[in-house]
Amino acid sequence: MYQRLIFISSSRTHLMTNMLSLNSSANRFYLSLGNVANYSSKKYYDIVIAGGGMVGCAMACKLSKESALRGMSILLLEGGPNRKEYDLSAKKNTLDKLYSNRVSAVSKSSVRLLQSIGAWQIIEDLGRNNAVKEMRIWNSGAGRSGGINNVLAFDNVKDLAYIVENDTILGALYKKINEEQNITVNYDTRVNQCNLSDSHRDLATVKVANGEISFETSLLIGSDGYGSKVRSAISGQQYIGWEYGQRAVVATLHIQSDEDNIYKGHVAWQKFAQLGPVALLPLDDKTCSLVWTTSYEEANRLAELSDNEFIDALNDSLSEEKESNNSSLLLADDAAHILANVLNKYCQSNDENKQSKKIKSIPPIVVGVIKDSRASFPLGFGHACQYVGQRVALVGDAAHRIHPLAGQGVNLGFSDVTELSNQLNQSVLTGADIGDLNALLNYQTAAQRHNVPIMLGVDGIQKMYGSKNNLVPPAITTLIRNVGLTICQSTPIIKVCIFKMKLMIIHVYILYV
Amino acid sequence: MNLIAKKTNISNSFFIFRTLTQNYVKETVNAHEVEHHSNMKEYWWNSNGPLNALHSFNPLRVSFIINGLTNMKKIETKNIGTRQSLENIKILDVGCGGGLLTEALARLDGNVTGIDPSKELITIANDHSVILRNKNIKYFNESIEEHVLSNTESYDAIVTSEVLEHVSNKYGFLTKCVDCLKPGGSLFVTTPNRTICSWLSVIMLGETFNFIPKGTHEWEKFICPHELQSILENNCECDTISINGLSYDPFTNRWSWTDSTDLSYALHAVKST
Ligand SMILES: Cc1cc2nc3c(=O)[nH]c(=O)nc-3n(C[C@H](O)[C@H](O)[C@H](O)COP(=O)(O)OP(=O)(O)OC[C@H]3O[C@@H](n4cnc5c(N)ncnc54)[C@H](O)[C@@H]3O)c2cc1C
Repeated sequence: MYQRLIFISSSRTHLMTNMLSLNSSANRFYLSLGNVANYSSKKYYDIVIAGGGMVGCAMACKLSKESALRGMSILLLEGGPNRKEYDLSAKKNTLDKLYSNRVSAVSKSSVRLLQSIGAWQIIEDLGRNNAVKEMRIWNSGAGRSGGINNVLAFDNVKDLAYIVENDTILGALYKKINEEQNITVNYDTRVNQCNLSDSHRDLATVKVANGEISFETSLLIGSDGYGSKVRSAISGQQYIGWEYGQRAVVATLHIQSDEDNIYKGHVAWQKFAQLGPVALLPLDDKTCSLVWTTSYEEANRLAELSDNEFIDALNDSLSEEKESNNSSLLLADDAAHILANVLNKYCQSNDENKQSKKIKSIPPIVVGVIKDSRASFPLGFGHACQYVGQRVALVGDAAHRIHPLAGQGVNLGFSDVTELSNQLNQSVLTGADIGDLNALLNYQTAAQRHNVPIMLGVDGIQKMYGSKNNLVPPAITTLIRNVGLTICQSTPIIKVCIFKMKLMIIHVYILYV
Repeated sequence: MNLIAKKTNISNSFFIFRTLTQNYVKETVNAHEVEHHSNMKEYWWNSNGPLNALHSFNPLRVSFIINGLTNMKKIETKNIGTRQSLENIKILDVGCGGGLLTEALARLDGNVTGIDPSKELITIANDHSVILRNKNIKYFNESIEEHVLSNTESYDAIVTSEVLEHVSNKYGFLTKCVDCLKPGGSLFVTTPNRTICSWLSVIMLGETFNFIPKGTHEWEKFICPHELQSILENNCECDTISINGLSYDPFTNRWSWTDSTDLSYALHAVKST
């Protein structure tokens, strides 16, 4: 024991004289790591976010608002330029509102996220958020006698969702980002290569296309859209994806609705037509945004048409009626009605005021299309099996891409943002590294639990409505379609009864196959 | 080693963790364990690896420490609920192993020292801590008996997590720990209980999986909360502030607090002033 004591004191003396490394014989090991800041020449940020779309921007804002993450350095890499559309002051000054053709149906929970980062306030001040108070959904087998009989109307004293242009959301988010000292934005900077290590000890590195600079980070967040570079860098990644062979034709329209409706200007219309769903999302009482899903050929044909021909084609599609056998329709409708009732019970237990009813209604008539607002986008389905890896996480379309028929795309992305940011906040509060895999895995579990049922549901509905399968008897098809409508309408209940929802989806799948 | 690698994660973590911390009992590290530990480098910091139960334990034990210190008014108000919560608090992690807990405490701006009698583990801990930037962390390869000689009454908090069950002379170990503590400082202990329940899980693991060498788990060495409490109160001039039960779900790899201390528990005691 005496000898050991000598060792200890001698090693302490050595230490004073900076000879610690030579003192290994003393069986002691001492290293102070107080100052290793400069161990790499690459530029370091605590968090790097690849992709400054709506989801990436919301992520940056949300992270800088979390109590435990305050003051962390965040770098946002956006492949595109700093567009003038992001400047919202231009929007405020124009008297006649010129709407952009890309809009999103923002759900309540997305609004809560945007509120928490202060972006919703900006959007509200601009008055560019139109509330949807009623949804009217029908299909091409609904029967027609001076109006469409089986329109499922779904309303709520509270608002169902808000229609906001993507540009406005982005503008508000960028405004917030510019107010944050700790967020740096690099525009025109495409992520080219990501090096992710399996070792807990190494940082993630990101190389960009146009420069020699590379960045090092404790956590890389991929929000670079459906062609994500970050996603493919995750080891063992499997991405399930397919193209629907469909395109979404978008445009901003002037409409005329003869009906006297208390919700005038706040009704969203969706028709499940033969080639795919057509949605009219209200921007104000005269204007709405079109998302018309159709085949590639049809989309190409529509693109060739003049504006007037396009309007005619659209009106035809909205009023188009398919011949169908009345008795089978009745059967299908009954079944759908029963289901709607069952589902409504769940809704009511959650929210007393929610109601779904069948009404007779005339869809709006399109009278004009705003110049240069027509465009079209390809549609696909995709899901990353792994949202996370060591020091990396995916959010938004980088992790999942869905058909826009239920308007869930950006909402799923925003719910990822909320979830990831919560998990990171909690784990950092308990001393974890921000890139710690345990917290990221918790995020993955929660996000997939939320996203997968919705994705399967939406994909299922797409498949049903997109069905050209002649082998399926008309009654069954109509039944499936109506059940699909009910599922689609009842998205709020997804949270209440995920289990039942899954059962139904499985049911629907079985019926379909 | 190959054979072990094939077994399930939970059992692995038990085995490796136990053998690693076993050193504590011995004055010096014996040769065959040194060799054994050189293979462990990969494991300590792999949160998907055999020590995943220990990784997932971190959030709970860290919040236990933070809550304890908050209750004792040791944490500055401005730092509550931030990632600087341990700023200006001097903490000793006794039996720090590869530094899982030590790093977490340092990341919260604690002024942290980790000690462990295993040279290999201290090397692992040191190697890994380069990931921390500008944090106060120090590691020493020494036992508490050695450490106390030059560090009497110098820490605000002492943490000894999943260590006590490997120590034969609990009385000696605990008194030395408390000697390092400033008056009014906090001692945090987590350790499995000595009950039928913990005995069963050890036997179940040991015999069902049939790979834990007999004697790895010296269940007799486990200590009950009331025994620990009585040593601390009668011999170390400490007051027990709280004893909380812990449970672990191997299927979800999650720890949680429970009312029952049957399996494992966390204890917070304060040295009288
Ligand atoms: C026709 C249509 C209608 C839709 N309607 C709705 C709707 O009504 N409601 C709804 O919720 N959702 C809707 N969606 C879906 C929604 O638009 C997307 O889910 C949403 O835009 C995804 O946001 P994101 O930020 O994840 O990805 P994106 O919007 O794709 O953004 C990705 C960003 O990353 C940048 N980027 C890409 N690669 C790189 C790189 N390598 N390096 C750096 N930056 C990069 C891009 O420039 C872009 O800014 C619709 C989609 C379509 C196609």
